[in-house]
Parts: sequence; structure tokens; C-alpha cells
Amino acid sequence: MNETAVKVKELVKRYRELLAVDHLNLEIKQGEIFGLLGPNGSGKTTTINCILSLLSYDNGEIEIFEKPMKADAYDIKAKIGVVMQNVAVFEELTVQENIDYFCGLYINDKQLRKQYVEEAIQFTGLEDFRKFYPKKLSGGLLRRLNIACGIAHKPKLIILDEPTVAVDPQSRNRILEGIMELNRQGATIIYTSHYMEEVEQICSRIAIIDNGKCIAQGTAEELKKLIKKREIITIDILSVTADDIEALKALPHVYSVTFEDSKLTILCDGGSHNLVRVLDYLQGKEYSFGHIHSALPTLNDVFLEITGKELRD
Amino acid sequence: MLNFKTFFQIAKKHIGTCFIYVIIFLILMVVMTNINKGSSTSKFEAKSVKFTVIDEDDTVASHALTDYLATKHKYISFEGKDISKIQDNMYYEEISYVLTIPKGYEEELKNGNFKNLVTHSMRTDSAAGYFFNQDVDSYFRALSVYQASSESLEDSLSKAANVMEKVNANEVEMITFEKTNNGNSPSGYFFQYFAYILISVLLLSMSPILMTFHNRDLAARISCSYLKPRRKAAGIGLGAICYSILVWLIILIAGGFGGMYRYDPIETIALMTANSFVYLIVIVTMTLCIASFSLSEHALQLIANVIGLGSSFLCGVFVPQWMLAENVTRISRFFPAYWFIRNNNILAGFNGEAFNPDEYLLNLGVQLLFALAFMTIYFVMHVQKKAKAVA
Ligand SMILES: Nc1ncnc2c1ncn2[C@@H]1O[C@H](COP(=O)(O)OP(=O)(O)O)[C@@H](O)[C@H]1O
Ligand SMILES: [Mg+2]
Repeated sequence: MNETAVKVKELVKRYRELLAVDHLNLEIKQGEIFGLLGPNGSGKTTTINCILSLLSYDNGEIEIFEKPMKADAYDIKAKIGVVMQNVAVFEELTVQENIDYFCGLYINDKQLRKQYVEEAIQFTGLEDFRKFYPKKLSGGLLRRLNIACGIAHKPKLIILDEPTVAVDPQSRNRILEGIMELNRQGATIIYTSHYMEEVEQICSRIAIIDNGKCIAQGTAEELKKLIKKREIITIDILSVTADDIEALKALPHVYSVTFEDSKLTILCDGGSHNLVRVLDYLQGKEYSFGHIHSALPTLNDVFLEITGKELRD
Repeated sequence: MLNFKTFFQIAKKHIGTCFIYVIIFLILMVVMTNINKGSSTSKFEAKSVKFTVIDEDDTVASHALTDYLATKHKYISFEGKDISKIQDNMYYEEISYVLTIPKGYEEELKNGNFKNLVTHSMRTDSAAGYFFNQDVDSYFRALSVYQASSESLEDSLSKAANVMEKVNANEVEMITFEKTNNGNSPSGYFFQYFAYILISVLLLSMSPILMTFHNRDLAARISCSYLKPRRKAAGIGLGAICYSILVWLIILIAGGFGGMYRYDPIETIALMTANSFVYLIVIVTMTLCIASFSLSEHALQLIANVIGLGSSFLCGVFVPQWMLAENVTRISRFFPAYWFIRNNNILAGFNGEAFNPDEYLLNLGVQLLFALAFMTIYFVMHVQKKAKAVA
């Protein structure tokens, strides 16, 4: 299970002056759900297209299943399922015909193909839409069709580039569940997104990308440990004095206290019972306060702390 | 044969557009064929001219000329030869042509001078006069030939009149032959318009189908699959060829219903059909090539019109090849339509051209070379496209 599925070494891709991918290194093990997380324009799609040999690149090496990936490496291509960022289906074919076509790109045997197409339809929940043309599908269903076309041939490696863009929450959950199911069935998954919750929810390992550079890599927990921030406490309160802020800052593990718009924000760099200590202090001063919230850091916080800007959602 | 099947699945969705193009061009074809039928009939009718002669020479020779012309045209005599009366009659279209034989005409002939002996006036708005001029010219040509080898003028006059009568008969025969062969039998014109129709119908109706395969996102998606580009190209190419043969058959059958093959021998029709089939292959391969340059649908329509109309004008679809300037035909040799039309001309006997099997095969061969070239470009483009930037 620990064999490498995809290895990217020192990948560099330029579009004229624009450096879209900057010495990127990735190593994806078989059986993983690997997340590529980064804001729009960070180079995720470019990286994926290089991995698939759709783009030529300026520097670097790419190996898939421990063999060099090239445009004519058809034995490797046979094992990959691709779900492109832009939905790529035939407008003129029905849902079923589309899945049959894309499955047919890999599977010649008619009987087997029929079975696979049926399974893909079931898997993506498109049973009621077999005879529909893509134009008649909602955004979420269209994305599901796009996925069905990519996975029908049961590939060992599935690459999904932002499969949930512009999808309603219901379809999105179904898609995420499906990806985890495919992984349980044995497929290695590469998943790109700019939604950190999604990535955090399903990915076993994550690379955070910004401006074509990998700024951090690891499990969600590992990534969160990279930053100082461990706990964020917010309390709705009418007013506090400057003395109070200084006193709160003196509490153990607290390293930042801010008050703005009747909201007190306290950042802690670890430890436990931070909330209890803060509340004890406020109660001792007989303040009355409303809503209290304690949160663990998100990948957005990781991104914010490393790059100094929001990941956006 | 995944892409072959898909080609027709897509074609099915575009069938409406395809049929509209086929029908529009069929109607166009019928209209154009009929226009030609009309013009060749009127050419024949213009042959008999009402004329009179002002004979100032009044000799055996001048009478012989008048008699000869009277066999071919309608002679109207005017007593007293009142010139103003003649002019009135010309004005009222009673006569179209007045020939003046000057004094000393016979003398000039005897001296062996055959040029500019007679003068004429004719209605300028009538094409008939030109036929008359031709008859006068050929009479003097014949006369000069006999006068060169015979001692007496009388002898030459009767021989020339004799032979001109025969030529006259031949000419009429040739014209009536032409009349049944081309005027009423439109197969020659029908296949001539094939050159234009096929380019337009195939380029316009197939491009939406081919464009689908060349859609950026789809092409990228397909090119990272297991399918090799050569197999994809072959599947699409085969689909396009079968589709085109269907369209070709529809046009041929429609031609049959339109009575386009009625007057020609079956062999001629068969050779014309074979010629159009080879041309069809050229056009399909060309279409495949053009559609491979991921262009917009508008650009493709523009190209279809430029190529369709351009090569039709240059290669003799709208204007017969023998009327084109030499530097035009020199250029048009680089278009496949030229070779198709060449074959059609010799088969239809246009402009008095005779059929020659060697030339026929040569013209087919040149067309096949075009097809081969287009096919090669098509495959090379498909195989090279695979690693192109798509993101
Ligand atoms: N074909 C292209 N030509 C020029 N620049 C491009 C092209 N494709 C992408 N880019 C640029 O490369 C950068 C990375 O784009 P992309 O890989 O699509 O990012 P992402 O998928 O993370 O949103 C962006 O700045 C984008 O504008
Ligand atoms: Mg992208």
C-alpha cells in the first residue's frame, strides 16, 4: 500500500512570463486521497494538466505508478480516470451515451462496458436521467455526469479537478461521499479544490499551493501544527477596558487579544482549558457577555498565517 | 469504432441542419441547370437571319454569294434597292442584316483578293448578325482555298457553294446534336454543379459534427484517455466518408428524379458518376483537414463559402473553362475542382471536346493525389495535436 502512485519532481511550467508552477514537488502514495488546495489561479489545473501530459512543461519529472509519464504512455493512461475542471461531455449524446463513449475509450468489450456504464450511473445517482441531454441537466447533475464519465472504467488513479464548483450542497455531499467510496474500493485519488472544508473532510493528505509553489504538505493535523494558532475564542461583549485586555494577554498560552465591534477575540497557541480561564477572568470582573465560541484553527488559518492572505471560500 | 458510431450519433442531432443544406443546394442545382438549358436553346434559334443584299457588282460571282447566303438565311428582296427604305425596314425589325457587294467584286476575286470585299450594316442589338458574319467569312475562306488550286472562278464558286452546303449541313447537325446532348439533357450541367454543391453541402453540414470532436475541453479529455489519436482520427474519418457517401447518393437519386440522366448513354452517366465519386473523396478529406484547425463555426462557414465559390469561379463551374483566361486556368490547376470539371467537360462534350480515356484517367489520378495529400495532412495533424497546450 505504500507504493508511489504519482511523483512530481521540481515541476516548472511557464506561460510566457507567468510562472504558473514553480519547482513543485509532490509524492502521492497509493490508496491516498490527496488534496491540492489553493486559491483560484494558484496553478492546480496547470499541475494536473502537466501530470496528464496535456501540457508540456519547462522543467521537472513526472512519474505515475513508478513509470515516467509521457503523452504516448498509453499503458499508464489506461489506469487513470480524469474528471476535468471544465465539464467535457458531448452535447449531442444522452447521459448514458456519454458515459458509454468515455468508458469505451478504455474498455472495448461491449458486455463489460454495459455493466460498467450501469454501475457508473448507479454510483452517481443518474438513474432517472439516462435519456437526458447535458443541456437539460442542472449544474450538480452535470458535474455528476462529468464524474461518471471519468470513473466508469474503474481506474486505479482518479484525478478530479474542482469537481464541485458551482454545485448545490446536496450534490456536493453526494459527490464527496462518492469519492470516499471510490477510495475505499481501492482507487488513489487526487483532488483539487479551493474549498478548504471539502479538502479537510475527505483528504488523507494535503498540499497547499500558492502562486505555483507548494507552501505546506501533510495531513490536516500536521498542517495545523505548523502554525502558532491553536485555539480561537470569540466572545460577544459590550465593552472591555485596556487593562482587561492586558490582563487577558497575561493568561497562559494567550498571545493575542483584540476587541472590535463588541467582539472579543483571543488567540491561544496551545494548552488546554483556555476558555475556562478566560471566562473565569471575565466573571470575576462581573462582565455580562453573550455568545461564546471556541474554534480550532482551519486550513484557512494555516493559509492566512503562512501567506498573509485569505484563502477565500 | 467508437468514434465512428459517435459520429453518427452526433450527426443524428444535426440532421435538421444537414437536410436544410442538402435541400437548398438541390433547389439551387435545379435552377442553375435550367438556366443553362434555356440559353443553349436560344442560341440555336438565333441562327436564321433576315437579310438583304445591295448588289452593286451584279456579276456571276456576286449572285453566287447571294444564293449561298439565301440557303442559310431568309433573303428579303427590295425592288429598286431604295436604301432609305431598307433602313426603315431595319428599324422596324423587318430585316436584321444588309450586305453590300461593291462594284469590282468579281475582279477582286479573280485577282485572288478575299479580304474585306464586302461591307455590311446590321442591327446592333441583335446577336443574329454575328452568325451571319461567320457564314460570310467561312464562305470566303472556302473560296480562297478552291481559287488557289483551280483555274476558273466559276469552278471555284460552284465548288465552294457545294462544300459550304455540306459544312452547313454538318454544322446544323452538330448544333442539333449539341441541342439534344446538352440543351435538353442536363447531366453535364448537373455534374458540373456537383463541384460547387458538394463543397458547400459537405463543409457546411459536416463541420458542426467535426467541430464537436475538436472542442477544446473534449479533445483534451479524450487525449488523456487510452484512445490513440490515430484511431480516433480513423474513426471520425470513416464516419465522415460514410456520411458523405450518403449525401452523395441523396443528390444522385434526386438528380434521377429530376430527370437529369435521361438523354445520355448509360456509359457517360457511369463515368460522370465515377468522376463525382472520386471528387467526393477529395472533398471529404479536405473537409476533415479544414475542420481539424479548431476554428469557430463562423470561420468554417466563411471558409466553406470562400472555397466553394472561389474554386467554382476559378475552375469553371459558373463560367465554362474554355472562356477563362489562361492565367486563371493556370491557377485553377491547383484546385481539385479543375480536374473534376475537365473530366466532366470531355464527358459532356462541352465546347466540342472529345472523350479520351487517357485524359479521363489522368484527371481522376490528379484528384486522387489531392485526396491522398489531404488525408496525410489530416492524420499528421491529429497525431501531432495530442501534446498541444490545452489548459
Ligand atoms: N493557457 C494559459 N495561458 C496563459 N496563462 C495561463 C493559462 N492557463 C492558466 N494560466 C495562468 O496560470 C495560472 C494558474 O492557473 P490554473 O492552473 O488554472 O490555476 P487554478 O487551477 O489553481 O485555478 C493563472 O495565473 C492563470 O491565469
Ligand atoms: Mg483550476
